[in-house]
Amino acid sequence: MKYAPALLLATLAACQDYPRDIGGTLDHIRAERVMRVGLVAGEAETRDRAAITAYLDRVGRAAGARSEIVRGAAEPLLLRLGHGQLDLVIGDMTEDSPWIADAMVIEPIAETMLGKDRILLSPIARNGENRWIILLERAVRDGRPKNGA
Amino acid sequence: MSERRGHPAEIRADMAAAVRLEWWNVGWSISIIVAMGLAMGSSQAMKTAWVEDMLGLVPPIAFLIAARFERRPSNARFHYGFDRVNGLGFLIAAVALAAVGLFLLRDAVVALVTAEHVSIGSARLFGHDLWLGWFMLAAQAYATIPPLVIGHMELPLAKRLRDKLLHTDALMNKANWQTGVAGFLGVAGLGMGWWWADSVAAAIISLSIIADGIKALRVATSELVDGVPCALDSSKQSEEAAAVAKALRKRFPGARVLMRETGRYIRAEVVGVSPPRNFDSKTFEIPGLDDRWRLESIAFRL
Repeated sequence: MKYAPALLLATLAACQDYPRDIGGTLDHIRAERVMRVGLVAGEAETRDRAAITAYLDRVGRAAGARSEIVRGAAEPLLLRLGHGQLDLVIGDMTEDSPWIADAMVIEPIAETMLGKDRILLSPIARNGENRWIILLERAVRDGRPKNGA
Repeated sequence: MSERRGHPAEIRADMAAAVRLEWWNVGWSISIIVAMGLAMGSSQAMKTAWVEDMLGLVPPIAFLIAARFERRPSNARFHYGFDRVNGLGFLIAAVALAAVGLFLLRDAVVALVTAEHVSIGSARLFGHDLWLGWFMLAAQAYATIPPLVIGHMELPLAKRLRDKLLHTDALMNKANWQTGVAGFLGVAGLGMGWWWADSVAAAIISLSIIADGIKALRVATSELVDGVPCALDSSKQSEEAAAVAKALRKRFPGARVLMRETGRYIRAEVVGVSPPRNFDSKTFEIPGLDDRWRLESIAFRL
């Protein structure tokens, strides 16, 4: 019993780093102080420039890193994300995008309608980087207007 | 022809207890299916565990249906009664058990070969972003407790009732709590960044489930093709059947003794002798057969 407080502290300390990323994305970003962002070239770049900038600011503050942005077509950027050459991709996705199975498409930071279909401007992370994904999700939610505001 | 109406008096209390326990089993299983369904999110491992929990409903439902049929007396269409409905339920339960093991193994191997990295996100509750893995861990922990307790309670009943269907359900409950532990370790391991933890644990456990399922299938098919009565957890002849055969061979030297099993009951046939006068199969002494209800009938054929 005399070791119980120490055990509790050790458990709490371990919980702070829990869950961990399978590929260590967030650890890498914090160590390098740089996050490698792929921005899908297209309408969203100009249409939602303010939302993208504000989002990257929030993520950068939370991760303690600056953004290093590359622009390109969606598929090459998503392939680079899967190979660990990028930490984050931001681009327009539809709700039934086939990429949903291959990468973690996070809640949208902006959305537009095309007829009856929704186009979601979404941050996309590599699968299994769960600590990094939580940080990205938190940054999306922090950018939403508060109820009653 | 079975003249019995309902179960023998010696096992009625145990049958009633088993039926009650299986209703509890169905109720708890549904609560687990709901809890897992709410917590599973996009996790493939959780989806697999959820499908397995659904399959886990098959043996208790088969038992409840079989127990209801078994109580019915023979009639104009079913001259030998409904004793073998239990055997039919046993076959269905054995298939479900083997399917759970194969399903688990397939999923684990695919996840390992494709190096599947599972994403588990978060949800905002009362201003805090909580990792959904915590809900999955809670659901998995909950999912291990009822099958562990119910399976433990089923084993002595299955033994006393010589009920292979109930015994298979106990094995299914063992499979379910072991799968729950594997799922818990898998999500916990994923939180540590070990993507392979879930699949390795599931693959190891699936092998023992498949072995149990195949053993149950062998016994169930043996019963359906009139094989000799088997022990509860083995495809070998039961000690009780051996005792019946020994006593009949001693009483009727030179005759052939044939035996088969209809559900929980043994039926023996003595071939090559006429039925002796004053022979009462109910009082015929059989050393080693303590539960006399187990022997349904002794028939004679020249």
